[in-house]
Amino acid sequence: MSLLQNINTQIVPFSLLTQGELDYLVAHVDIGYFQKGETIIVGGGESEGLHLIIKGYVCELESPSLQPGQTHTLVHYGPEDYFGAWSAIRGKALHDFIADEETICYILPAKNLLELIHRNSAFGDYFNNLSLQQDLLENKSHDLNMTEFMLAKVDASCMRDALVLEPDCDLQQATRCMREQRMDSALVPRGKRYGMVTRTDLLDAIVLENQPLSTPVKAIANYRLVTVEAGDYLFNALVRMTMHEIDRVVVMAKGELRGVVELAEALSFFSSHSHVVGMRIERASSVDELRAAADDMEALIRSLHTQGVKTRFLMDLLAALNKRLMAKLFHLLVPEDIMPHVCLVVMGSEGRGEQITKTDQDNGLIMRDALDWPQGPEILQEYSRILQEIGFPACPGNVMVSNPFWVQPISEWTKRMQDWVVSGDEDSLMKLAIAVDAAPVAGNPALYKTSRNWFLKEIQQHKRFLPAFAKVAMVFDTPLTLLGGIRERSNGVDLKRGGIFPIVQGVRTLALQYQISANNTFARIDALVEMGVLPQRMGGELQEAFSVFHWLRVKAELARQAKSLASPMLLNMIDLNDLDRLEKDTLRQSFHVVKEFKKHLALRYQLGGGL
Amino acid sequence: MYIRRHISRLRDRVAYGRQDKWRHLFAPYVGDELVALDMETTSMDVKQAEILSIGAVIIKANRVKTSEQMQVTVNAPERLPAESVKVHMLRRIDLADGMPVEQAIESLLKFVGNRPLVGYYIAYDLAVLDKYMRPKLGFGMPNRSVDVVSLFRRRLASRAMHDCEMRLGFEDIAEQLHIPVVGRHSAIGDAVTTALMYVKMKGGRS
Repeated sequence: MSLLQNINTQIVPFSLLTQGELDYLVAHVDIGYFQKGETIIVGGGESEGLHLIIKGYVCELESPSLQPGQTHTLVHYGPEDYFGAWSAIRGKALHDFIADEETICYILPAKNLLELIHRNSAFGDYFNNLSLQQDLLENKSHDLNMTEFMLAKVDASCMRDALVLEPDCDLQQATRCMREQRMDSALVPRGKRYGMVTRTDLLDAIVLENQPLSTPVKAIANYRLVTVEAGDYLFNALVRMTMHEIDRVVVMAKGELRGVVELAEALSFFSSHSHVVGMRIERASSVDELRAAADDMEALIRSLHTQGVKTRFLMDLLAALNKRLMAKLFHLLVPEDIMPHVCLVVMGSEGRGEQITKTDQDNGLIMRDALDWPQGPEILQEYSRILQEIGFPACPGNVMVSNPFWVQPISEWTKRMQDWVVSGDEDSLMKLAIAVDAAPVAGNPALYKTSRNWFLKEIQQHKRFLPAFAKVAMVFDTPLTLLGGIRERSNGVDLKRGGIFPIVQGVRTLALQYQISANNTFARIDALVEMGVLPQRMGGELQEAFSVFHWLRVKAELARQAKSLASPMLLNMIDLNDLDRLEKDTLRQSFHVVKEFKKHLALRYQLGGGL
Repeated sequence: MYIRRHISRLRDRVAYGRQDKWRHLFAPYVGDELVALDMETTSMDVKQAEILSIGAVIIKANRVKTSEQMQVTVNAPERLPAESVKVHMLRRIDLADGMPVEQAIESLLKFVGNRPLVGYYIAYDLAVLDKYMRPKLGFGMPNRSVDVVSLFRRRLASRAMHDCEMRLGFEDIAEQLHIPVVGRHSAIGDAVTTALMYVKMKGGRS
């Protein structure tokens, strides 16, 4: 069977087939040749069958015929990747598949694919799972469940036209207009920008501030708009509302006003309770109520995970909720007059917004220089204690506000970071790794921003710092054997050391070098790809591998919770025996991505024998 | 060489094209399919060459229809030179289940019909086939044929690349066209690779 030599039967799903079924496959495939730019499958049209790429690259795009005006590349396929199977099973393709370069691929016609699916249930399950994933991507069904909501997009179905008022229109007219149009908010143009006025703003202006009814509406509009791009995930709009504690966001498309998404309307898409949890946190007036809200959060994560919500979304949501919870507790404990002079930051994975369960507290406090706050230490002790009670375990490295080391005036905070950069020993680099990912949670964010901006500039002066920092990513071996299989230790495979850490650290180093202000690893990779620092393919693969590690981690963690085996030492270890073949394969591929990335870093920073 | 072949094709058509049994082979082909052909033989010299296996695959537009292929082995000839075994890897034992060469050619004719043929130095394969067919049937392979080597030469010329050294080996062409070599030195494997060369050079246009 000469053709078999060119089909890698070691990879899923072909590894699921028996020899007889492989023979069947080989007997029925054709080879197709497509020129660069040629459309292989048209969105809305039929797919001939399973396409397995021998050579070349294919991209999957939102079909302009189905979604006018959007040509967003969804997926890239390369050699050994396959596509079109789901479309063939469903009879209709959702997206366009276009050859990115000259492409040669095997084509297994739909009817033969179906025959194989019929013959081999594991192979069939594989594609059914795939079709499930694709179903999620599709989000066209009106029977919206949680997952579909997560993938719903900001478009005409969930937004309203904005009411735009003349800037000189007075408060009375504005109120009348909003009433007539049944709107709770209106926009006021200023140059090319817009400000927002809500009914609450009007009420406050008139009743509390005694403004005359003839005041022009532009005087009370808020010009710091929170916006989302049209076509972004509705979920992001909701995260943004949760984050900024607001009830609506403005939808823009390339600087043009498109409409407004109201919280109530977004929620009407929503059949679960992420925002309800948010509300509970907000309304909590005691520690007990906060704890109840935190428990809800756990249930929410579990249900989202089992529904297959993408890890990245899960992280975003959890980060937004955690931050609110921490901010709320901070506000409950710290006096209002201290707030402008301090900034509570979360660091490490929390700062990057990459937790998937409630993890250790990693927090610190940046203070204005010479702040006089004698009660501070006591209140901060209390803060750490309660957070622990609510279910955020104490940090083993004692990176907490209860530790005076992490509570510093801004000048000391920045000077110390400088010291760490200069000394460059292991301990300093680890501390830096934690501190670099700080994100403001409560208090005055300007304090944090000042220190960050200073730091991003500062490290450009230290030529030897970046290679040293990059080298930290190489500290742990990638658990792959010489033959490319997964290497397992007696206690399992370490996802954090083997996978998550090198990605985070490597991406962090690059982000520092290119002065990217984002903290989140996904967002950093996006930015690096956009700047052309990382090849798009590598960026995408890193994000996928990163998701896989986290996803497996949550899975293991939830399984452990179900069996109530709560040994924190095991948190990053997974047992290969708990994985099915597909998961194992995916994990193996993910480690290979990490290995590639390490090579890339070694070359870039000339680390030599760092592999 | 080519002109002689044209003339003999014409002559064959006059003589046999009206016979019911062969009419379909001589009818002008209407359609968009071709057949890529490759054979493993015992020698590069037409006079000495004996057919060991035949592989053929249908090409339709930009597809190599590997699902529609034929592959036959011929029972071993009396003389099986060691030199050739090293190339095609067909030992006597591998040919034990083969069919008589006449039967193999008959199934090839059935498979190909009147479709045009595509091959790598196809003239050689045609000459070998003719050598067997003429004494038995009275005519040679009647099909129109396309040689990927001449297509490739033309391609280089049209791209003003005639200055550079022409590498026309089978693997050389595959490499320069960025085509994977599928199962080299099996008749069907080489036929598929040849088909890919053709499809690639024609850019999906027939």
